[in-house]
Amino acid sequence: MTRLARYFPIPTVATCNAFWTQAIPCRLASMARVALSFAALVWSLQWLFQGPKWLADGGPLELATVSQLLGFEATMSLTDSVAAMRPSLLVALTSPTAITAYAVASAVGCLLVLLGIGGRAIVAVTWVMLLGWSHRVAGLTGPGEDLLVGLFPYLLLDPGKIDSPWRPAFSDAGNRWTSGLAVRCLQVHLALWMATTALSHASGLVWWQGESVWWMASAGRAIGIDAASLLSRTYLGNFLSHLWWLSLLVACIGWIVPQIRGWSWIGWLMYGAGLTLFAGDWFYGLVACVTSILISPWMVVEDQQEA
Amino acid sequence: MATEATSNQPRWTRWIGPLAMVHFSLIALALSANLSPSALQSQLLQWFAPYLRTANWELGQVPLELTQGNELEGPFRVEVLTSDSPAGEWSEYPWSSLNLQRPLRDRFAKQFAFLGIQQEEAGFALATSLAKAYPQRLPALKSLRVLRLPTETREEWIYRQEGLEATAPEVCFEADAVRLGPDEISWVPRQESRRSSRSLQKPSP
Repeated sequence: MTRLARYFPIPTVATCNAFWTQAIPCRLASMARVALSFAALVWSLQWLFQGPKWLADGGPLELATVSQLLGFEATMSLTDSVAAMRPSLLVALTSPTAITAYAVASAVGCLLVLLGIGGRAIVAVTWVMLLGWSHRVAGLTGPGEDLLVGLFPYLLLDPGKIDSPWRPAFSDAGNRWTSGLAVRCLQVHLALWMATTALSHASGLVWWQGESVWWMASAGRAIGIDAASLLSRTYLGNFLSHLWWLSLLVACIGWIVPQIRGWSWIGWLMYGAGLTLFAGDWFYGLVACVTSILISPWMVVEDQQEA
Repeated sequence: MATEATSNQPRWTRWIGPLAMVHFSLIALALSANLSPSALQSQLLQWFAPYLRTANWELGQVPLELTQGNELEGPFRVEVLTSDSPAGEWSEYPWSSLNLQRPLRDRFAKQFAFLGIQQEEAGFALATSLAKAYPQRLPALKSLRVLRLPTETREEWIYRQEGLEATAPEVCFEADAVRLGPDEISWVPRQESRRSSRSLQKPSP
């Protein structure tokens, strides 16, 4: 009976809480905050340059057009966007100047979060602004943007703490249970994302046949790799395709097995590099690289002290 | 991670574990329903939409798989025909004037192409928006179309290099601009079987 209980432990509320609310150094939460807010800053800066032309009146994604795309009979209002459960302050902004101001405010918010200024209030405001982009630019967000916006709210649990914005953000050595909760939530969400992505790849035969890189090169998505260059190198194309998917599988398995968790980090980094080089989605690649900090050796080193 | 006694935590933290389990069950539901949700998953997502959709945790068919080797993945290209183009040749829409990054531009073109294939009304709205965002050349704009360029398997590509078979791009959307006034535009589809002419919104001054 004891042996059975050892192999099939039944989680209790107490063991669950021990997992989620373990006190850890809050510099770990700060590291996550800096990484995520950096990617969010890059995303906001992108919209600073392209948002006014695309989203303002007269742009390809002006509000009237997006409303029609989303199935509204008339141009949607802020209330409509809330009722549709896709609230966005950008719905109320239609002039290029207003959208530029929103992009600047969004970028400043990300910068403040990165520097650790303003605590939870600034994190909350910045998250709402990022959600605004995501909900407003229907159809133009990709996996990277969705992963980033999905992870950001966990920073509200513990935005980290620094003595001064001009000092390194990781200087705080205190332990807090809220830091543990934030980091656990980020890690579990990322693990679910990685597992879903790995399983999604299994739905395409090209991943099994080792032709995914060829397919993307043929579609003109791969950066610096054209289909002709892969033509005489069949094995190379197969190798890159298999390695790319394998790196994601290693990232998933490595995260589950503590002894090889370092490989999880390497795997996710390699997958991120592939996203940029083969899929041509540099922003998703960037998000993969910055989120890799959540499963990096720095976190693992702390984990081993637990044993 | 360094362990520390948790006795100094507030009493309400005992609810955190169960709440986190519920939250991540919903996240797992949203992620697993991304590719092709079952009827049950769709219904559950509908129930939890106020929580999942509002916070952008419900993805809505984001291509996590990156590629499935499906021809419908594109690439897509938006082209324009202007009255001053040499020999009536189509040219790619001048995206550089709109500052859009490549991945976002591809997603936009894909969305446009699907609307064209499904003969959706919103396809004309996108065509008008693109026409309006093309202000310097707008008077010269005659037609607009979206092409799906052929994506080939390795074997098909080899055949094409040997001149045995050439795959033609597929036209997903193609319409001629009809000017109803100096600032009003209408579209007439080139393939009459697809749809009829529709008046579109008057551009703002």
